[in-house]
Amino acid sequence: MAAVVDQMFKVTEDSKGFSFDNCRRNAFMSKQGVTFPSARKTGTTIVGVIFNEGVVLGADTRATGGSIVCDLNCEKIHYIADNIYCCGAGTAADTEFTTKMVSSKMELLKLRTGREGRVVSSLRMLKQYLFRYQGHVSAALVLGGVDVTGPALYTVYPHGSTDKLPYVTMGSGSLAAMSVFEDGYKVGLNEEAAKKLVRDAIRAGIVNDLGSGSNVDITVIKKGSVEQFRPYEVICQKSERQGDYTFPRGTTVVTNTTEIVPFSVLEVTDEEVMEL
Amino acid sequence: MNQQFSIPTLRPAAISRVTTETGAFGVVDTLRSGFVNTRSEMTAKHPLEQSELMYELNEHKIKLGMAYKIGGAALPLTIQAERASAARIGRLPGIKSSYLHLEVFAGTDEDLTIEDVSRVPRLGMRCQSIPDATLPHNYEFNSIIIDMSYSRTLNLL
Repeated sequence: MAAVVDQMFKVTEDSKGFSFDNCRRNAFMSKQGVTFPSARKTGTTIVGVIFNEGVVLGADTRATGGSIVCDLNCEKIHYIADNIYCCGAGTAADTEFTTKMVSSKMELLKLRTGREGRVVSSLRMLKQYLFRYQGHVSAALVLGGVDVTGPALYTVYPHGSTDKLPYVTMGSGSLAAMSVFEDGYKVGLNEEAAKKLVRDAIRAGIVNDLGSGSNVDITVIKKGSVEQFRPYEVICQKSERQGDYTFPRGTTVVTNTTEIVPFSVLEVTDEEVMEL
Repeated sequence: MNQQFSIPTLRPAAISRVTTETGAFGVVDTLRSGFVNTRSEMTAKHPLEQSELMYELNEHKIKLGMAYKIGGAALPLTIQAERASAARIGRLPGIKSSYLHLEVFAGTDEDLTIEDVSRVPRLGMRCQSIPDATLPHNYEFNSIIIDMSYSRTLNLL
């Protein structure tokens, strides 16, 4: 019986998913001194806060690749379900694929059960997936939503641990944002106060952290409605060009003129085309 | 008390599985699987490689262990028996089985994994397989349970 079971679970050539074939080659190349291109990261500020009617999620919009800004206006608040959204920090591809996969799984679950999905279901899917890959899938997430049990806000770390908290921050700008939260959070905030608090926290991350920048995106999730502000506020505006660098006509001295004779390469001839 | 159905750890202990693709007469087929380098076979390519190879088997063991605790000694045995017989339901030789019963029983027909999202083989890129090569090696021919509904239509896609 054990031999049959082993046979069933054997990995075959047409296996899908992650492939480790190039890992040895990559390790050898890095030992030889080859520098690999750096993954596009969202060195980020992402935050979430629970208010009296639901959850407010906020994120900045800068994506970096090394020390270069790859994307000035990238979307970090991902859709999981109609009532659940997820902010993602870490490697951009990892957060994108992970949230898309969990969104599809939540839809399948919703079709199977016939009920609106719960935040804890998507949380468990995320944490089991990330634990399976032992932190190699670099996705730090802020998961928030409103379901039948009420508003819920969680953080998910790349290794698979989770926290359930009333206000959370993640990413490289998390310390700056958390300092704003610690000062301004109160139990039972109303919607406007919560949006202002999130905006202040993201702004602190944008201004004080090099990995975060550009705009503040906000998503407000309440029971039965989701409002997305993209952007809620533009913090880093590209400044107007100060000087005019065009040269006026006559700046360059003319030393010599040559006559330009038009020369036609194509000769137009009359030709009769016979039709069958 | 029961060693066979104890729940294993989530992170399986690394077991070095040296698998070399052998061709005719049990000799390594250099043309198809490349040169043999024993050291590269012994060491792991990536820390996740072992756990990924054993992931499904380990999950199955966890489910059996839980079934033993919940349903008693008979439940894991019935699960294993149904799973083994479901894995043997096939079509005519040369045609890949759909494993529908197995998927429904395991719950994977209504589930998505990263394999459904990444590195999915595109339709046109699958190679034609030699029918004799696709016969399962360890099963006798007369013990394959043929899925009768497909033998009529011979759905080759």
